[in-house]
This record gives sequence, C-alpha cells and structure tokens, in this order.
Amino acid sequence: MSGAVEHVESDGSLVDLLDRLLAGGVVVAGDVILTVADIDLVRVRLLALLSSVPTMTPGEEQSS
Amino acid sequence: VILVAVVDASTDEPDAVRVGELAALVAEEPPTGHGSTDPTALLRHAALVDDVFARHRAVLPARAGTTVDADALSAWLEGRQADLRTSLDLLRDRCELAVTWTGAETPGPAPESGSSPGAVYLERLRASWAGADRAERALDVVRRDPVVVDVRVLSRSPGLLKASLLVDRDSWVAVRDEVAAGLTADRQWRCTGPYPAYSFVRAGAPA
Repeated sequence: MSGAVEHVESDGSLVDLLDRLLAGGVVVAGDVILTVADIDLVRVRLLALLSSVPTMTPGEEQSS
Repeated sequence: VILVAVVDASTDEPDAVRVGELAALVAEEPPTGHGSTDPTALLRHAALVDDVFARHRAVLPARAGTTVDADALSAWLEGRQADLRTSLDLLRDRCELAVTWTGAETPGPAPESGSSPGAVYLERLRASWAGADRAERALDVVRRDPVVVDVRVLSRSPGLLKASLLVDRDSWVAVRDEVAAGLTADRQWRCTGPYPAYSFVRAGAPA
C-alpha cells in the first residue's frame, strides 16, 4: 500500500481514528475547542510545541 | 489556518509553507468555528491528512483542531527543523495500526475470613488490573516481531488497553493478518487501520 489509506471495516475504526486525531500528531501553539452541537464545551490553549518520534530518544521509556 | 501535516519540501503543493527541507501543509479553518473539533471538523481533518498521506511518503500528521497563525508557521518550522527532519525520516513509508483489548475485569479471589477491609480493597484492585497486565504481556510478543517497528501503549485501564503498532506501509496487511491475528483470536482484541502515524509523533517541550 504505498499510498492510499484503507481503513479496515470495523465498528471500532471510527473510535480508533478519533483517539489518534485528538491525542496524537504534531502540535503547534494554538487553540483547540471541543464542540458538541455547536456548543463550545472545552477550550484548550496548546502551548506545547511539537514533535519528535519516541524511538529516537535513547534511554527514555517510550513503548509502554 | 489549520496545520494538516508536515512533509518534505519537495512536495508540489502550491500553498505549502517551506523552510529548508520541510513543508507545512495547511487548510482553511472549518466554518464551524475557530479551531473547533466538532465531529464534522474532525472528519474533515482526517480526510485532509489521509489525502496528504496518500500522496507523500513521509508525513507528520497534525493533531486535529490545531490552529496556527500563518505568519508564525515559518518561525516554528525554522526552530524545530532538526526534530521534524528526524521524525519525518523515521516515519517515511510507515503507518500505524490500532490494536485494542477489551475484557471483563478479572474477579478477585474471595477474601479470606478476617481480612481487613483495606486488604480486601487492595486485593480487588490488584485483581482488576490483571486482565490489562496480561494484555500488555501479549503485546510483548508483537513487539518482538521483526515486521513491527515499534509499539506504543496509548492507554491502559482494568478493562481496556489501547496501543498502536508502527509498521511499514508495504507490510501492514501482513502485520494485521499474521501478527494481530494472533491477538484477535481470543476475540478480545481488535485491530484497525492503517492510519497515518499520529501516535508516533508526540508533543515536546515548549520552545
């Protein structure tokens, strides 16, 4: 699969995707507002900046 | 704008913000509000990242709902260039699979007569984690498989364990079928994906 992303059909795939969208990925300083039904519930100011791949940090616990 | 992903500067995306060997791909904010992560915006973000992932070999996906001042983006790329470059290289041609264990809490043994309430409580607490402990040990087998680049446990509780496997894009089917099948045989495991490698990028210290 060099290219297209195919999500395996599963009842859990949407939940798994949302887990990753909200808890993973590169973060730049900014705001995230959690909204349900056009009502802003939580506003989070992201001050932490970004990104390194855990496997690149020798001696630091990373996989458990 | 909303940050979608960071990719190699060689991308032909016309609106990319380029600094050195890096390019940040951005999108207009969704009409639902500034940086909001309502379901529509979340799925839109996922679609944008998937599209980037389909067209680029190395992708650092951005967390959903992250808005950034377009003018500050170049400075951010400049300041984090080395980290981003390293991360991009590691995630090149790789993706992640999600594995989830769901199991009933393991009932604790009947308390011995005369046990204090505190001892009974602690024993039940210990027993309630036993299932998740076994699930995590099962992941150790996966971790040793040579086709699995890395394993990250995302969350862990008495009846639930969520983890991600980093695998080569060309071998995710084999991993799912051969490795994850070993887990899912007991029907308490679920494996989905592939996804862009969100779980293998993490927030670092403030700049």
